[in-house]
Amino acid sequence: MKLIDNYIYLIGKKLPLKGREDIKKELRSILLDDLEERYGEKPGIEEVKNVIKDFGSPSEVAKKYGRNRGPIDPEYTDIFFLILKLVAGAMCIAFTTVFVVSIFTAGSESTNILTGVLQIPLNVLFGTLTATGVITFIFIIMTRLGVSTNFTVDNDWVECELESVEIGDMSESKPEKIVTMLLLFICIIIFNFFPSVLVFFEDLFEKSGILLSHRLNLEVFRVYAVLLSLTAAAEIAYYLVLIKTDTKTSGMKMYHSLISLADVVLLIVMFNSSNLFPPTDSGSSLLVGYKLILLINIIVSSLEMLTSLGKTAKKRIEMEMSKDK
Amino acid sequence: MEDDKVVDNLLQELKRGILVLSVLLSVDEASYGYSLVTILKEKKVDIEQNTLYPLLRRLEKQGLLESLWDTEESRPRKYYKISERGKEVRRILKSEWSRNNNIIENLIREGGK
Repeated sequence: MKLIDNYIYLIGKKLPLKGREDIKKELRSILLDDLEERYGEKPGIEEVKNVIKDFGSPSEVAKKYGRNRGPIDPEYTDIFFLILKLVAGAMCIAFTTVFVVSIFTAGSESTNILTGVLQIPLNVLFGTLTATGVITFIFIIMTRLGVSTNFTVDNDWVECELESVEIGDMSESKPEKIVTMLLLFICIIIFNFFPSVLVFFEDLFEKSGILLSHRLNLEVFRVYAVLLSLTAAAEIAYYLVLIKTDTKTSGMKMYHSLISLADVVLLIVMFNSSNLFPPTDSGSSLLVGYKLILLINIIVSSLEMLTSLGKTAKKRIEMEMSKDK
Repeated sequence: MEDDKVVDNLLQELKRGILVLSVLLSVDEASYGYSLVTILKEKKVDIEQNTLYPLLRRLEKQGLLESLWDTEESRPRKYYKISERGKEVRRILKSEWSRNNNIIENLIREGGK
């Protein structure tokens, strides 16, 4: 009954934490009762889909369990969060644009650029918090007045997509994904438009008295920056889809693994490039500089990739074994 | 079109109160979710599955129903039964229903056809 489990998993993601497991357990029992009553003990996939379709989309079902829970009616939950996401995205674009324009119009030294870059996330955070307050206030009033939107994000939901849903843990939070996207976006901006910031950090580090074993060659780095930006953009696209659908399918997992693989390969090539990191005259035998960061990144990314592949393989084997039984 | 929506909303409001009383009148014997849908449908109570199940949980939370998981059958099922508090509330609702029913019947007879 993989379809039923996937369906309940999707509902569960939208349910309040309190009582979630009990509701899921009860829903499973109810759906199986319904299925058996309508199609007997051995229903086909299409019959399972019919029962699920009649029961309603995961959002609809979850909403009914969340009624009268807070100052904002659960009917508005989807549109409320969608607007917050759009506002946060608009803030990112707006503050970055303002920053870029200010550089071209005013002209800045590297320290000012660095301050400006660091100020972007802060501005985005405070701007989004202010907007969140205003939006929340509007939605509370809408709840009080009983304005109806009849809006659900998954109203074009089709039960045939259930087969590709992969059940995972529910620990991934949306803010985490948004922060990751924001960091990737900042990396793209720095790598392509302000790579001198990286050299600035090298200079800053050497002021501590520790000598670098190698330095970054900015001319060579510009070529790698394009490739790094491509993998970062692919990852941003992945997180955008994940936030929109709130579902990690096996196809998406495969896509993410391929991006991670491309990233690791690129980092290894960069690590081995003596043109990118020419040695300094310090004579230091230790790996001090950006290569050390690259090495840590390669190890962590490889471990993450292997763990993810291991989990997928384990799940596949378990599924095959349950089929055989 | 707008009129249809208004009528739909009014009917929904009217139904909401009826459903609670209908459920409270049908759970003297312990029943699980799906069997209760069948019982209510047999009694011509029009209720959707995904409306009934959250309603059962809400009534349980309000102390009007008691629940128990039966794990001895082939599949675990959650059974609901009216509580003592539920019986008391049901008695009040029933008498209020009869009173309102008389009022409405009188109003209809007096010309609100």
